[in-house]
Amino acid sequence: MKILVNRVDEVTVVILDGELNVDDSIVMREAFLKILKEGAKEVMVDFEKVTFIGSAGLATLIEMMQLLRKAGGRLGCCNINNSIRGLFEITKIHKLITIYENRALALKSF
Amino acid sequence: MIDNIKSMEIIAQGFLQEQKYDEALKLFSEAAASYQDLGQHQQAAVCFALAAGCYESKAGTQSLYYYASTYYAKAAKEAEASGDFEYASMMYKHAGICYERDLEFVGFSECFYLSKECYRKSLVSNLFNRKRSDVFRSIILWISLSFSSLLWGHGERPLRTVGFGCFLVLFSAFLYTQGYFMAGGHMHRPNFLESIYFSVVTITHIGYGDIMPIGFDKGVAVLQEFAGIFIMPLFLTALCRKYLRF
Repeated sequence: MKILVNRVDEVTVVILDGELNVDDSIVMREAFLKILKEGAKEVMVDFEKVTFIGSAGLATLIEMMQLLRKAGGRLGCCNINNSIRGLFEITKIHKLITIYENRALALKSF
Repeated sequence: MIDNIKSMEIIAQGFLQEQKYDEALKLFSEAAASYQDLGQHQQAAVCFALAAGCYESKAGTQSLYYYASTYYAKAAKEAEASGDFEYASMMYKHAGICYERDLEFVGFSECFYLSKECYRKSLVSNLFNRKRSDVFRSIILWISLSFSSLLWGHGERPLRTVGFGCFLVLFSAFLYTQGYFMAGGHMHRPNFLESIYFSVVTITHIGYGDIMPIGFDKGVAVLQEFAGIFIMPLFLTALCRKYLRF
């Protein structure tokens, strides 16, 4: 999995590329913690290039959402394909994390 | 074991996309159990939630909602173990919804209560890291939920109202002994038994009029009467809410 971090104004955009399984979620967690340490408050995760997400990835997202909230920030997700959206809905994560259709809409709303 | 879980999840998600819910939920349950063995509670919670979702998706008959609710409850317990009370609250809420669909009201009652309790705990864990306006809102919400929990267990524990009522009777009786009563034209300091009698007569709004509180006791009586206005209807509402479902 590749993780690319961009900064657009106040929003930190995390672009994920590849599969997000058990091992990759550890890498993603470390990347998120680094972003948090740097003081990021508004974080947007772009799922456009994510082909698979396992429960470890979903659990990491929940954990990051909570850490960000504790820091007074928020987490959003965008460009989620239908199968991943289905997983978000089944696990009810869509009620905790705001999902946007695309990055432009997400950045506008943040 | 991690590789095993990884492959289980990939296959399970494939089954989920093909709407083969039986196969998917079996694999998600196994993955959840493996995560439990590894002590990774948040991941186990998500896997249990996925298994519950499989049951819910395939539920055409009521009995399947029961299984969905048990898996949501398991997910909630795992989320609780990981310290994620917000997710636990949501999982208990969905467990409650599925129990209700299955007409299993004992489970619904328990899950509704636990959902509220987890939400209350989540307010505390995130309290000091919110925006200032949210902190004030959270404190008010936490106080009202704590009071609701203490007074009637969020509407699911009617015996708590009885307990609270008894406590109020005894506490007020103790306060009455510190003041004076007027009975038969004579003012006197009441003993504890007389105070309990007056306390019960006051909280139940019977008010025989044979004893009149004086001074400090008058204030206590007013407060007790005011509390009694709420305690009686709360007890009856909780009792009806809990037992008339069956």
